[in-house]
Amino acid sequence: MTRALLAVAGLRHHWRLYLGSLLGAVIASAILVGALAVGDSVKESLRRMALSRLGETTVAVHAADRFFTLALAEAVGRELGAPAAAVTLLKGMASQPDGSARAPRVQVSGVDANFWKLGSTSNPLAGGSDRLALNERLARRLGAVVGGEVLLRIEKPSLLSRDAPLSTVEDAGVSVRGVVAAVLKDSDFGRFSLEANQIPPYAAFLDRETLNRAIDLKARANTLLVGTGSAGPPTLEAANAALWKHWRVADVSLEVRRVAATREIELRTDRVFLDEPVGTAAVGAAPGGRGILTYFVNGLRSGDRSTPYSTVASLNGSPLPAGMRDDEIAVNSWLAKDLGLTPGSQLTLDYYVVGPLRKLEERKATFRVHSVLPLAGAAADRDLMPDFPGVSESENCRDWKPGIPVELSRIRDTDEAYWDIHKGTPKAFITLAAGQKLWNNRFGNLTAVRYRPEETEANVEACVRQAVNPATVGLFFNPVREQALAAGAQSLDFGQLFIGFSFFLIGAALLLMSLLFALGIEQRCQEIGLLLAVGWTPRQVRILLLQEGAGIAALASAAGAVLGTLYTRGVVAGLGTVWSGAVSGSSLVYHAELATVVGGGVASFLVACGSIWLVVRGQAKTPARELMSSASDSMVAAPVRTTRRRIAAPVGLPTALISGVAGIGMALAGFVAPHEQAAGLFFGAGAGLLIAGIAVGRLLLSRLEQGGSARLSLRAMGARNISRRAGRSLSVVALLASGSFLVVAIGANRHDPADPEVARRRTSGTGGFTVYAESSLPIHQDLNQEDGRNAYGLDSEDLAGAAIAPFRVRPGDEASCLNLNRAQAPRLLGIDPRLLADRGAFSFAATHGNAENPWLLLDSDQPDGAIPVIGDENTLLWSLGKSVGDTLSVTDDRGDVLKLRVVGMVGNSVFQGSLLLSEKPFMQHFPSVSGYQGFLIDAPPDRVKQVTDVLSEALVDVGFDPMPAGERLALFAEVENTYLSIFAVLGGFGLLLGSAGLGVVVLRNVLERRSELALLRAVGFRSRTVQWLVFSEHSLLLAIGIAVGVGSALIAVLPSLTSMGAEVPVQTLSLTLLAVVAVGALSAAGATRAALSGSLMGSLRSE
Amino acid sequence: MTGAELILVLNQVTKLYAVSQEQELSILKGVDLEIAAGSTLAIVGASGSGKSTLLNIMGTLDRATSGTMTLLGRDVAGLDENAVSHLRSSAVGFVFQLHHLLPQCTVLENVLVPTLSGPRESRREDAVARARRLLDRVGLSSRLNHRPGQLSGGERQRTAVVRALINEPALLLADEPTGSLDRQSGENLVSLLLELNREEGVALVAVTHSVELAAGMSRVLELRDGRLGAVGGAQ
Repeated sequence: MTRALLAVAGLRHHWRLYLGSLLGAVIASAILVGALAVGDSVKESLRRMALSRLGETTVAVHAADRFFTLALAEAVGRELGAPAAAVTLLKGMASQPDGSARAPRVQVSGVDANFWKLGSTSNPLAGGSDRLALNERLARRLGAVVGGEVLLRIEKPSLLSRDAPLSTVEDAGVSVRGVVAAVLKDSDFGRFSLEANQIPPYAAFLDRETLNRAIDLKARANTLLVGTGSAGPPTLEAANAALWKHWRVADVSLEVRRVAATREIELRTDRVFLDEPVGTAAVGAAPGGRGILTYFVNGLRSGDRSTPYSTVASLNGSPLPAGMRDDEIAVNSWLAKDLGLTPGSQLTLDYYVVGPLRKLEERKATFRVHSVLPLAGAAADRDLMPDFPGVSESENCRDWKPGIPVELSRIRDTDEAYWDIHKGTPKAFITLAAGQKLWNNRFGNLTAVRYRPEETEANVEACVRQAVNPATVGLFFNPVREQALAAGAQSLDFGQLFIGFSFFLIGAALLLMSLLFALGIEQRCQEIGLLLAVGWTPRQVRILLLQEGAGIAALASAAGAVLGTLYTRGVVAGLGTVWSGAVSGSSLVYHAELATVVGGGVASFLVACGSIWLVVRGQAKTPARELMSSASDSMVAAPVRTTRRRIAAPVGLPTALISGVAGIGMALAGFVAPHEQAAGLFFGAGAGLLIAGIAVGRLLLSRLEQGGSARLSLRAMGARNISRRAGRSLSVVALLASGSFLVVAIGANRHDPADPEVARRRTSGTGGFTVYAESSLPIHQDLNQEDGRNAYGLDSEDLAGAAIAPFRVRPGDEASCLNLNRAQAPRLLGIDPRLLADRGAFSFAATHGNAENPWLLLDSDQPDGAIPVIGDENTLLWSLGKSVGDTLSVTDDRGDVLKLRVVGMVGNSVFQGSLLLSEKPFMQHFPSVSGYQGFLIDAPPDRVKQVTDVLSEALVDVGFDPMPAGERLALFAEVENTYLSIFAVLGGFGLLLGSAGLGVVVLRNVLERRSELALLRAVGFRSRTVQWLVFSEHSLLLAIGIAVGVGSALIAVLPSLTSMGAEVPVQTLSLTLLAVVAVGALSAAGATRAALSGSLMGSLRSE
Repeated sequence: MTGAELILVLNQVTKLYAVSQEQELSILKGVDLEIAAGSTLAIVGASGSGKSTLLNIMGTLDRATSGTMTLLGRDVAGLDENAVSHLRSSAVGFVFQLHHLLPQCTVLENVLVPTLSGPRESRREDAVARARRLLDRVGLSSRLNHRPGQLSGGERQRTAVVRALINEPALLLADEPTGSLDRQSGENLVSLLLELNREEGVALVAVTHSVELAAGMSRVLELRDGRLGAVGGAQ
């Protein structure tokens, strides 16, 4: 016989007493374990999604608008001993051929058989070049079926950015029609994407050669996927080393060739401009390297004579005369003759530079003619002209189609004759410094680099490869698998989230368990008295009881761990159906880690033991003689020394006063405070009044205990009875009050930002813009200007009164609550800050320092060179874990790591999921992004639909996809509202458990008073009267609890109730509270009946 | 009083209870009492006279409001709750009107319960052996593994008596020990208590209305108006 064995025996013998406690503990444990396992399920689901979107891919190059050769892909794969697939990955849109259904922002992948091997699936495109495969999401959106036709409109990549000078935009998209050969499930690699998002993209797959043919690309691709080889997955270092080893200049659109006119070796690019890092490195790559910048000018003027559309080269060295200054120009003999130039003449160059929104700005520069060069040798070098698109390949000047307005009428026969003979041979030469001053742009400041004639092409290429870092032109590997797994692993912890949602339910279950455990102990008071009487110390008795409690907790934890997994399955099912808004419609799978289940079980065991200890620590304090006397009632006569400890009412008075005054004060302040502060003040007021209400309840109970009424009546007796155990009664009041406060206060916070009244405010999350739009293909024109509108066949009437704020979009991970993954590289938006600053759009939750107009902080200089960014508060705080002043890093197009500093946070806005930076640094660091793909449109309220319809129709070819800005906000709010719904449901269950706890309190109170109630029966009261007495006195507790909780909650949510867009679920809340009242009343009635059943008179006899 | 060792001495012990914040009820009004080792004493008195209160104070289950009490030479008032528990465990055995056996334990286990309160060393095999011997002595050797629910009233009370003696107390306190038994069982229990008093050398103090039990005691005192005195005599 040991104490532990005695505890086991006690547990076994009194199992019926403990059954209720066990049930409460099982519920608490199951909820805790289940909530943690929800986290496991989400993480595992994200992991599976990540793996399914990448297949076997471990590292990848995505060079965006750079296209490397297929030979490079093969060489790298061979070097790494790993499967490699070259993919042409483009943006586009898809539609049914009859236009009946469209899908924007489609990911179009041109693939070969190697791609499907990485997906461990068979090639669905084998057997025909016109075959397409669509993933399930796209097929569903289009209503496409196997065998049907689908039309793809694909962004046609341009070697020269569409934003660059002379670039054309007319051929920005191409159409491809194909027959749907397969609809791909996730397991068929249909989820393939390099972006971390649990929602698969709209994805279309077609043969790479077919796609390349459509976009005039030969044997190239912009994405290289590398899988796991026989020696395991390649490391990032090994992959980049292989890339460095095998890349050729052709892989970064460079070419090395010998120039006919001078026999020099030239490095040039079909992208017109050499990227600045490439140009800089190339000049120093081999001895004698010199840079050249040749530009296309609109005209060369001297006096009243003019030569249209010519090239001017800026360089150092031949054919430039020695000693020529930067303000001087050398002209060839043809131009000198045409314009009548002689040394000393003034010559003016007219040329375009391209501003934002492709706004062409004509500028001029005047030089003094230094000398006239004969049109021969180095001065007759037609290779000095880069491959200007729409110009170089033309036979005649009149066939030119450059990306700038050309007045063909200005072209004379003599100009045609020059073109016929000399093509683009520059007619004038200035120093490189002068040229770069005029024509430097974000795409580069050189069009070629030349090396001495004695060099060989091979040697120069080797030197260039040695000097140039291919990462600076986007050729570098990313550890996509590692990033994908990290995105899932670091995702929002749904385990913690659900513990948060369930805390009230867990608390209520533990309270129920504690009440029942205490009830069980009370039934055994004689045992406890006996132990004390035979010499056990109170501590020994408490440890014995704790051991018994620990036994219950252990059993409950084990059972709860098993049931918790069922709870998880239920929640996962809920997240897949009624609560799908919380996970943005993601399909989740059930998964529970053993460690989580065991850990949750241990945690619930400890929590249950803690709760039991709170009950037990108050036990064995009553003298043994009282405990052992079945007729005794400790309340009948108390020893002198304990009398003064019974009533702690005075403590309640200051609490009630302080909390009440604070609550009322905050409520009054809330009425006059600004809108954004009012919510906090009212919530504080509600909380204060809740505490005050509970304290008043305590005071009331104390007052009743002291015999509030001098006149003896049955009602007075009842009132006094519920105050006999003031602490017990108060715990039920506090639980019901807190629970109803939380359920009402949180439930009433639902809101609908799509409410037009809310959406129209400039300080709202829409910035006052009525429409938010994205396009599948970039738009390069300014839709606010007539020229831009004309390009899409829009007239001014169509968009009368509408203003459009466009922004550039650097694709990245969606960093909003719609993405369960932790965004690794958030999407970046480039915008002109003035467009938002001028209209005072959006409200700032916080800014970096005091700024009169925080949007202008985007153009501020940061001391450490960081780039200022502004983001949505929710995105920054919850998705990225950043705040104002923090920095985060992103990799730019050249592989450089950029430091971004958060200078402002806008509250709950349409910008959720992205970070905004000024267009200027955006263009500098992300030259691969051309045009605009995001738009905020401010249309007059009565013309919103008309403007939207007109734009959708006119911009159908670029996949313009508008939606009311309020609706976009509502998408984000849906997540929050679903969270609130989940809390309301789980909190409601907690409240129901709490109201069931009232029954336990009734039971405990009545059992203590059986003899007293028996006496009432003995002196003539009817059984029903006695039952009603007990029921009514306990209903008072229920009424106080609910009234205090609901009343203070209504104060707390006053701003929400009175605000526009409030979407208070009155019906749900009312039903929940009614259910609570009903369960509370039923449990009280049931407990009353149970406690008063049997022979009450037996109680009198034992007395 | 003989020259035997005094194991319990009460000197001017009083006990007050609060009826309300203003009113107190005096139960004991200066009780003086000496108990010698191995002696027997019956305390009689009217209901509500404070007999059980006095017995609880003697057994350290309650504390006097004033006055002193020494048990085995130790002033109880100066001891903390733990020390009092240990003293009670080693020096006092209780037999109550109700047996108060733990329903979850067997007869043998019930007897051993008091031994669990002491330090681990005390729970030696000899405690089990003593329990067996005593149970055999009271005729329960065949009932060692029975639960209380399987025993008659007399058997339960005999088990409670053995439980009271398991720690070899110097003082055995019995509060109406025959109160819940039929006449025959009551007489048997009285006989047993007196026999054990002699055999174990334990002082026996019983609060009782039982004439038989009182008659078997060497001393009988009556508690009246809060004071102890000779039965029917002046205080």
